[in-house]
Amino acid sequence: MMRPEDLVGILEGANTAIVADDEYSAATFVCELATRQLAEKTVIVVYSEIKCRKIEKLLSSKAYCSGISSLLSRIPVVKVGKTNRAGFGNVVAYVEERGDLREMCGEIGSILKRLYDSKEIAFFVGFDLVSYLYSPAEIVAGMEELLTHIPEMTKFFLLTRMKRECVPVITNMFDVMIRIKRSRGFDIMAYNRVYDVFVEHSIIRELPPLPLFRIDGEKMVNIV
Amino acid sequence: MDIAELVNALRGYSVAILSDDAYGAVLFVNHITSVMCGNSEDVVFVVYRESTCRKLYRIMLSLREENRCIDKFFESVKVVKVGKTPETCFGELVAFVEDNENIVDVAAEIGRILRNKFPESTIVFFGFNLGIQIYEVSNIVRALEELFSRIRNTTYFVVSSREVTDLMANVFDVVVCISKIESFGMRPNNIYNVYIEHSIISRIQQMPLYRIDEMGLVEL
Repeated sequence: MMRPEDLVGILEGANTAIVADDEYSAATFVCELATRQLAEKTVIVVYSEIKCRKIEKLLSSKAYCSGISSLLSRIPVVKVGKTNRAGFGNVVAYVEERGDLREMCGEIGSILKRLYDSKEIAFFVGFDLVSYLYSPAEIVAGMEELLTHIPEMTKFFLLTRMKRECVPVITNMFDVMIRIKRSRGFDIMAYNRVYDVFVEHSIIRELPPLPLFRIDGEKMVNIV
Repeated sequence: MDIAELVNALRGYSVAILSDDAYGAVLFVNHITSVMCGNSEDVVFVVYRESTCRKLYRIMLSLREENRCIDKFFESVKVVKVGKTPETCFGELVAFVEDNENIVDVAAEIGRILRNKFPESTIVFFGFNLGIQIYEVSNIVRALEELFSRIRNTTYFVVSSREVTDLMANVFDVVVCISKIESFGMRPNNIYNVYIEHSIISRIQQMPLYRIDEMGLVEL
């Protein structure tokens, strides 16, 4: 039986995509991972005004996240977009979006390299929107640029509802892909927020493709 | 969840209304705006392009016989028109944005007008689906980014079609879908199911909501 903290340990140094059906389940998953020790070595990189606004709304609606709100208010945030306002966390750097993804990724990479060491963890949030703005070729080039600057840092990308033609990029570029999929269960009219969390793709021997957890409403439980 | 509860829960959020056709969307919007008018809330329609304006007017005419309420509301609603001419076939024109073929600039201008003139109003956008047919998706997203950076806490409903569900779920807080029921009975009718497809609001989950037609709305 795997605990969330074990999972974080296994994924140290890896590039992990967390691909969720919606932001709500992704937030529940991250809230379960967010221990105090983890929060102290985490930086969030957030992309776009759309996503900042959405995260702010999500956190205010999701009572479960209130438990980590004091942690979240201190977490360093690198904001990428039109303004330097994030609406959560402590903005420590701002990257203005000028329409060149590769240049933007280079700037993000050099900021992370300068401010944080390779033992720290970077959560990239809102970058799914990039799939609607840039071509798969530009996304690959941007990722390459980012990885050049911070090859050893543990990176989690939270992605929801990407443009379909960009989905193959995830399997190509990431070491591990964790899927959070809405469980239709036995009843298609089920109203509950029930999701299956599983490893869909992995290059790490200790973490083969396997079911991990189940999210039921606000809680994540182990699959026995 | 009754319609008044739903409207209350959606306050402050961005909501995409994705419908199989414009008729179903207007039926549902009419129920929402009825609740808001009952609460004396200010509603502003942003109408993109002449064809959307005309279509809304035609739907209003066709619903007039069944529902007097929609007639009265459409006559007085504030309209921000985006298009070639500062004319609208319904409501009271309160602002005009000339469509200069650059959707990002147009969105920035709409955002400025809404932020300066109607900061407390609920906004309903019509014609988004037309924008998607005209512009690249990347330009649409950049336009939304302009808009969202200017109106952060406003409640807004964007009416569009269902082909863009993934994009809308990515960008918007809530996605409400309106699907037409195929009816081959003796009495042909426009009947729709309304359900929540996506939501970041704790108390609103993915669930069926209502069945609507010209006669009214029934909770499912």
